[in-house]
Amino acid sequence: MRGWIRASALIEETVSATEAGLMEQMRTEEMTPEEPHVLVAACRSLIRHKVGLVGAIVLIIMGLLAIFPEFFSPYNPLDQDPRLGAMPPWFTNPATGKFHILGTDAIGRDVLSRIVHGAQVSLTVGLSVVIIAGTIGVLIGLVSGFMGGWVDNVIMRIVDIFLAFPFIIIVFSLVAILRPSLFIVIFAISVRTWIVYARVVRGSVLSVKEQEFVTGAHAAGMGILRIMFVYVLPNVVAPAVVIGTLSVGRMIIIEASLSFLGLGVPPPTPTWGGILADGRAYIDTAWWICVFPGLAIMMTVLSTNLLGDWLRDFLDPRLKALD
Amino acid sequence: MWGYIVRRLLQALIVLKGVLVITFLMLHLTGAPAEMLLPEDADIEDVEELNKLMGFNDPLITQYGRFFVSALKFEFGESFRQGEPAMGLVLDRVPATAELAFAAIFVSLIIAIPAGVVSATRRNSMLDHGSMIGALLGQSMPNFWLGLILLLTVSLWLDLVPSHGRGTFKHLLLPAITAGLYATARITRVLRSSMLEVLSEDYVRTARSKGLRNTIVVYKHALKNAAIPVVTVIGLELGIVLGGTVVTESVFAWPGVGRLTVNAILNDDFPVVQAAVFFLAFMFIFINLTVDILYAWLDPRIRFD
Repeated sequence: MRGWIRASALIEETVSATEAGLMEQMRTEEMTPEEPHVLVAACRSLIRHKVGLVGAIVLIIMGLLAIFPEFFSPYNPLDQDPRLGAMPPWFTNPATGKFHILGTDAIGRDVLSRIVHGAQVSLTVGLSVVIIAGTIGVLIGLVSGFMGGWVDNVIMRIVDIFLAFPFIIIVFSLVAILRPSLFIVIFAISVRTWIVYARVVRGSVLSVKEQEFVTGAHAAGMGILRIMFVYVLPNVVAPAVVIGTLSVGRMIIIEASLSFLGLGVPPPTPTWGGILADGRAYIDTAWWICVFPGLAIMMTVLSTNLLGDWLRDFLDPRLKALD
Repeated sequence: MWGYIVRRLLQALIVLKGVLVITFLMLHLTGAPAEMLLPEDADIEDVEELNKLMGFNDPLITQYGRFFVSALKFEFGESFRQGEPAMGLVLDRVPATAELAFAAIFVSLIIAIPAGVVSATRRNSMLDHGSMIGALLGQSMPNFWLGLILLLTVSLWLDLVPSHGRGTFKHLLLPAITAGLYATARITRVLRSSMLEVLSEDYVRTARSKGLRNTIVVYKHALKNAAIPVVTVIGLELGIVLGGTVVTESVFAWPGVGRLTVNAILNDDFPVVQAAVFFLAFMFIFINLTVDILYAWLDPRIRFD
């Protein structure tokens, strides 16, 4: 990222150079030996940023839970035994010797196993929404800002209309009409979130496209698509990446809210919000059914926020204004 | 100023028109609106009959025309479940939601202003770290979960306030904290950074060098200037709180628009869903418009943007 920005600055000085010359300059600049590869620099910076590192570690653990739930969960999350319903944490079944470290829910399912399996839906929704809505939003913002004129006007009015809907309401209604499923939940949340990226990217494009290296690219006779994707895009993508990382957590909370209200991925698939909803009726007698999945959500969201803070500082501390 | 207001009003009207289109299209998204409205075991004759009755066979544009005309009169049909006008049902619930939303903003200000000011004036102290960690945790937890935890501890275990319903101040307390959770966290953070900026300004140093007491410098000189970005955030948050009340109302059985909407969605009571979605979007647009105009009045530079 830094390499790109520096390359662009360099290009500003060589407006009259040919296209081949321009690209060659960028390549040599990127390969300067003094600066380590961007991934190495990122790892070093993350290790120094203790809090961000903790976030990354927690997220890696959650990711492993989501990918290999069978490996980490002690029992099948769907195995029920109504005789053992609502048993408290640290409970051992005298008959079978099964140990339930976080207790059981109302119909005797192991709470820990359900939380481990629930990570899958939460993380899938969180990441998919950010990737889908982020990609669409960045592209639309890029086109809107770069083209300007009536294209920009139309797109921005559409953005205003979507912004006018309270987030939760539009997502809820969409899910309700299209009937809840994993795909529909992801789709419904994405419908309302792409605008955030579009607005931010459009704003950056407006200032980047006035810079000399873009004028230079125009002068060198490059096509519009090429200028947009090769010269403008790399310089406007950083804020979108930061927003994306910081909003994974928010998306996880939205998914949990949907499941909590019965509008998420339908049962029997375990979801964190769904476990909470199941436990809600028993909150006065079996608090653990509600408390632990909430902690899982909070830990995951907190970690994405901490990691996002680090990423923002790493990519561009000026982006603090986005907070 | 008037030019700005007119421009902003026109913009709001265009947005409102778009909201109507989307609210209308919601029902047609599946391609079979009649089937959405009927029970699952309805046969083809029932579907055809409803299609005729509701005019679903007409071209989409004709249907939209009808919808548009009745929406202007605030008519969204009758609730399938209660048999009363849908908008009437929504409007009946508005006072409860408004009460909750304003209480939520109020509670968040009561918590966020001292927290933000103290974190900025005692930077890097335990208090600062404490409130920043609190804000971070607040932003990271689902508000309905906080609601359930408050319900469990304050209401069920300590028995200090009732667990559900509406009426007294005690009923309002937990729902207001829950609905105001994200606003509290965000306002604390914004106020802290804007206070830090203001505290390093020359006029604050001047005030201090005049020998004014610290409290006066902080609360009279600095806070007043640091409050401008906070006003913007409050405007933004009011909309978010309005959306957030949906979940909160469900946790505390609060008889507001949000709970009505969720129940209507779960019961496929489509006219009520449409009326509620339109109403909430309308309120949202109205709040944004008011905030923008207020802001332009406070800061004239905005009018020329």
